[in-house]
Amino acid sequence: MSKFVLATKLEAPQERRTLILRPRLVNLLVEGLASRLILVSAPPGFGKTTLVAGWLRGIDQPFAWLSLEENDNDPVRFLAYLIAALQRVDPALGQGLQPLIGAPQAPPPEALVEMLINELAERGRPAMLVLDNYHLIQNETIHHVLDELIEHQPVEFHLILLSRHDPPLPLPKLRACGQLTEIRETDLRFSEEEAVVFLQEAMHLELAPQDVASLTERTEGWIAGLQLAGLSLQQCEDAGRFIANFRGDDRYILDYLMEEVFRHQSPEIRDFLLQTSILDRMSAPLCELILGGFEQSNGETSLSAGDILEYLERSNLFVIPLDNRRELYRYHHLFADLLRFRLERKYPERLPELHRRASHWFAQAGDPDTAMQHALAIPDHTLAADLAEIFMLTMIGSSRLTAYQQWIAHLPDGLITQRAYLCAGCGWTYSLICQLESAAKHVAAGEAALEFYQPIFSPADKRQISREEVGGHLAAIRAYIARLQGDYSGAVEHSHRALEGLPPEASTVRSVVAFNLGMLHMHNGQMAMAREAFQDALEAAQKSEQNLYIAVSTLCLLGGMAVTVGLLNQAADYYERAIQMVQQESGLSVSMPALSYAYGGLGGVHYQRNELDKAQQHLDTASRLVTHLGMPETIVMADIYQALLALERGDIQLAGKQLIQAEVRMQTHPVRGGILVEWSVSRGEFFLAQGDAASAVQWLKGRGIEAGALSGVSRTTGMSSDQMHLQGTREAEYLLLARALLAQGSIDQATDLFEQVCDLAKTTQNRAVLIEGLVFRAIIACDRRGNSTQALPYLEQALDLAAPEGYVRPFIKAGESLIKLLRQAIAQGIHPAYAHRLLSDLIERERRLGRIMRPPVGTNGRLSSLNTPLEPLTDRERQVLRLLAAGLSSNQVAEELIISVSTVRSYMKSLYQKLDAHNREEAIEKGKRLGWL
Amino acid sequence: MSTNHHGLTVPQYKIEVSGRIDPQRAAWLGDLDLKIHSTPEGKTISVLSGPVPDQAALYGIINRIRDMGLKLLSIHSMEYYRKNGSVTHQTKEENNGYTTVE
Repeated sequence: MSKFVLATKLEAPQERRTLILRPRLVNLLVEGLASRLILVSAPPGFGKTTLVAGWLRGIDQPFAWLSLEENDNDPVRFLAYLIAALQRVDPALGQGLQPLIGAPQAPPPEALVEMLINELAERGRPAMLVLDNYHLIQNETIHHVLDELIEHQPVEFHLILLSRHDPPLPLPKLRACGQLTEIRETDLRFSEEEAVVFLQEAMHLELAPQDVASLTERTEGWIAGLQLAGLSLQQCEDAGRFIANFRGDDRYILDYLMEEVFRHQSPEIRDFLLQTSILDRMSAPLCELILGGFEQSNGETSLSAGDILEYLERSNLFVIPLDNRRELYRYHHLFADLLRFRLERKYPERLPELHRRASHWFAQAGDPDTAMQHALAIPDHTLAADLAEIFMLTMIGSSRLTAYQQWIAHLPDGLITQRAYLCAGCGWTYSLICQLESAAKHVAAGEAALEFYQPIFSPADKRQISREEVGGHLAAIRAYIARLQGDYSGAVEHSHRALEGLPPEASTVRSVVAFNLGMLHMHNGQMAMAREAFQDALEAAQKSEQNLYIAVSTLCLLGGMAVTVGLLNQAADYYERAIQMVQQESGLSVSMPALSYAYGGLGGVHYQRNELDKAQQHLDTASRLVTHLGMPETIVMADIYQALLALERGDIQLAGKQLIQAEVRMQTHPVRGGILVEWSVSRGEFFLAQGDAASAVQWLKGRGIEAGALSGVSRTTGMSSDQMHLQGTREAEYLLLARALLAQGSIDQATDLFEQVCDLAKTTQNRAVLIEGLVFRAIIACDRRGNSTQALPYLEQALDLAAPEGYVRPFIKAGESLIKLLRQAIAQGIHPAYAHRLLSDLIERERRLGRIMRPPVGTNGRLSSLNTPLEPLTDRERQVLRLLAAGLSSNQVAEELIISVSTVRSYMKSLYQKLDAHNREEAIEKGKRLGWL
Repeated sequence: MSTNHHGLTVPQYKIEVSGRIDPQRAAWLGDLDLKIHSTPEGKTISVLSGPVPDQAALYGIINRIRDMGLKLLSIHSMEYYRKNGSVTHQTKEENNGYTTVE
C-alpha cells in the first residue's frame, strides 16, 4: 500500500522567498484551534498555502500535511495518504489500519476512519492535519469520511482545510455552534501596508506610496496579481509609466500581467515554461526527457533543466519546490493554467508527444495514476488501454476500484472488448462494486477475445501474462458473480477452473478465490474441503504482499474449524500465527480488528484448558479490538466468553450483565449458526451455576431442545458430519439439557440423553461435548452401582480424548463427584499425570466456588418462588427491559430500537404494570428473577 | 442588508434551480432563503436568495447544486442588478410572472 504514497505530497511547500508576517491572520489561526474546523476558503492566488505552511513552520508543533490532487478522488488512495500524513506526526498512528486499506474484503472507508478517530482519541496528544487543495475532491465517500472526522474528532485533533471554494460539508451547522473558523478572501487580501512590505522585502522594489496604492487598488489586494505586477516592475525601466498603463488597462489583470512577465523571459526559458507546464510535478531529469529532441526557439539549448528550474525559483517565477533537496517542483496553479493555454496555441502539434513522454516516465516510475492522466490528456486510448492492463493487478489488488472505474470509463467499448485481459480488469471492477450485469458482460466479451489473446508483458508484475492466467481471472470473476447470486455449485466449479488457470505468481487473486471457495464449502457444510481451500488461500496470501487481511482471516477461520472438532493445539497454533503475522507486519500494533477473532478464539482455548488469567487477558484484548467495529459474530462471541469466564470466577452478576450485553448486540446485529448455540449454552450455564435447573430446562425448551427430540435429529435423518456442522452443533445444547435433568434428579432420562449426545458428538467429531458427555456418564455409572468398575472405562475414554489437547473444562464442570473417580484413575494408572492435574484444578475450583455451589438461601434467583405475572411480556417489552437493564436511558433505548421516546415510555409503562413494578430498578430486579434478563 | 465581521456589506445573490429542493435536505443552504415557485407552464423552480459572502462561498453552492444533480438556471448578483436597473424590471413583473407556492 505504501508503494503509491509519494512523500512530496506530505510536505508543506516551502517557498524560498521572504515570508510576509501577517499577525492578524496568524491570530485567527491560533484562535481557530479552539474550533472543530479551520477553513481557508478563497480563489487561487490569495496565499492560502503560504499562510498556513508559514505559520505551521513557525510554531513548535508537529503537523501533518497533505497536498491533494485530482487523482486522490479515490477513497482508498485518499485514506492511504491520510494515514501516511498522520504518521509524520506519530509513526504509530494507523499502523494497524494500513494493511486494511485496499486489502481485499476489507471494511469500508467509513469504518476505517472511525478506527482512526479512536486511535487519535486514545493517543490524547495534539495533532494537526492540513488538507491542501481540498476543492479537488469531488468524491462523496471522501466528503463523508471528512464529515465523520469533523463530527467525532477528539479535542486534541485539529483539522485545517484549504480550498478554492466552500467544501460540501455541514458548514452552516458548524458555524451556528461556533465550531468553524473561516479565513476568506476579504481576510486574505493584502492591505496597503502589507503590499508595501511585500513589494519591498519579497520583490525588492522601492515604490512611491501612491504607486503602491494604485497597484493594491487595481489588484484588489490579490497577492498573485501583486506578485506578477512586481515581476513586471523588476524588469521595467519606468515604474511610474508601467503602473499608469496597468491602471488604465481594463484587460483581465492576469492576462495583462502574464503577458508582461512572459515577454521579459528569454525564448529558451519561454519554451521551457510552456512545454513543462503539462506536468503537475517536475524534476530536472523529467524535464530533460520531455524537452529532448524538440527544436527549441533559440536553436541550441545552453542551460540544463536543473539550471532553469533553479533560475525560475530564484526569480519567483511561480515555481514551488516540493522537497527540501530541491529535486521536485510544481508551478503555481494559476501560472500552470495560463502556460498550458499558451502551449496549446503555440505548439499544438507537440502536445501528444509531450504527454506520451510524461506518461512513459510515470509508468516507469510506478505511478499509474499520473501515467494514465497523461495518456488520457492526449487522448491516446491505445496507450491508456495498455496502462490499464499493465497496472490491472496493482490497482484491483489494492482495491483502487474507484480510480480503475474512472479509467475504463474513458475507453471506447470496442477497444475493451478486443482485449481479454482488459475485460478481466473491467469484470473485476464491476463485480467488486456489485454491478453484476456489467461484470458478466465484460467476462463474456473477455472469453470471446481470449482466442486472439497474445501474451503481454506486465512490467508492474515483472512477468508475462499467459492466456491461461487471463482465463483464470475470467473464471474467478464468474465464481464471484455466481456466489453473490447464490449459485453455489456454479461458484465452486468456476473457482476450481480459476485456480487451475491462475499461476502461483498471481497470488493475490489466488488467495481471494481460494478463500471464497473455502467459505462456499463451509456454508455447504463440507468441512474437509473447506479446510483444504483455506490452506490454499493461506499459502497464496502469504506469498502476496497485499493480502495480510485474507491471511489473517483464513488463519482465524482455520482456528475456528479446529476448535469445532476439538483440536485445541492446532487452533491455538493458527490463532497465534495470525497474531504474529500482524505484529510482524505492523510493528507492535495489534489494533487490526480481524485479530479480535484470533484473540477471542485463544481466550476460548485457554478457557477450555482452565487457564483463566490467560483467557481473561486474551478476551479483554478481543473485546477492546471489536468495540469500535461491527463484526457481529466476534463481538457477541467475546461477550459470551466473558460471561462464561465470569461464571467461572463466581461472579454471577457480571456474567448476567455480559449476557445481556450480548443479547442487546444480537438484536441489532443478528448472528446465526454456531454462535447461537454458544449463546444458548452460556445462558443455560448461567442458570445451572445458580442451581436453577428448572429455568435451564425451560430455556432450552424455548430453543426447541427437548429430551425426546434428539433421537429424531441424529438417527433418522442420517446426516453426514459435515451437514451437522451446517446446522450448528446443537449437541452442546442437548448436553446441557442432560445436565439440567440430572440436577433435577431425572436420572433415567438424563442417562439416556447423555448416551445419545455422546453418539451424536462422535459423528460430528465434537470432542469437547464428547469428553463432557463421557465424564457425566462415568459419574452416573459410579453413583448407580456404588462402585467405579463401570465408570472408569468412560473416564478413560474421556482422558484419552482430552490429554493430547489439554481439555480441562469438561471435567471440572462435573464438580466434586468426579474427585473420587479421578483418584481411582490415578491409582489404576489411567493417564495418571493428566488425571492428577485435573484433580488439582478441580479441587482448587471447588474451593473457589464453594460459596455459590450450594443453592442460594431464600427466594433469590429462584423462578418457582416468584409470583408469575398474569400476562407474559411481548417481545418488544422484553427488548426494552433488556436495554434498560443494560443501563441505557429511555432516549438511548429509543435510538437503539429506532422508535420514538414516547413509544419507549408506553412499553415501559405496560411492562411495569405486568411485572407489578414501580420503577426501573424494581422491573429489572423482577425481570432477572424471572430469568428474562 | 447584512454585514460581515469586517463591517463590509455582504453581497446578495439570487440563484434559480430547476425542480424542487427539499427544505429538509437543504441544511447546507446556511443563510440562504429557499422559495419554491411554479412557472405559468407548470414547472417547479427553487429560488435561493440571500447573502453570499464571497466567490469561494458562491462556487461552493454551485458545486453543491451540481453534486445534487440539479439543473442551474440562473445566478443574479442583486447588487449588480440594482445598480444597473435590471431588477426593477423584474420586481415590476412580480418574479417573472411566477406564483409563489411556498
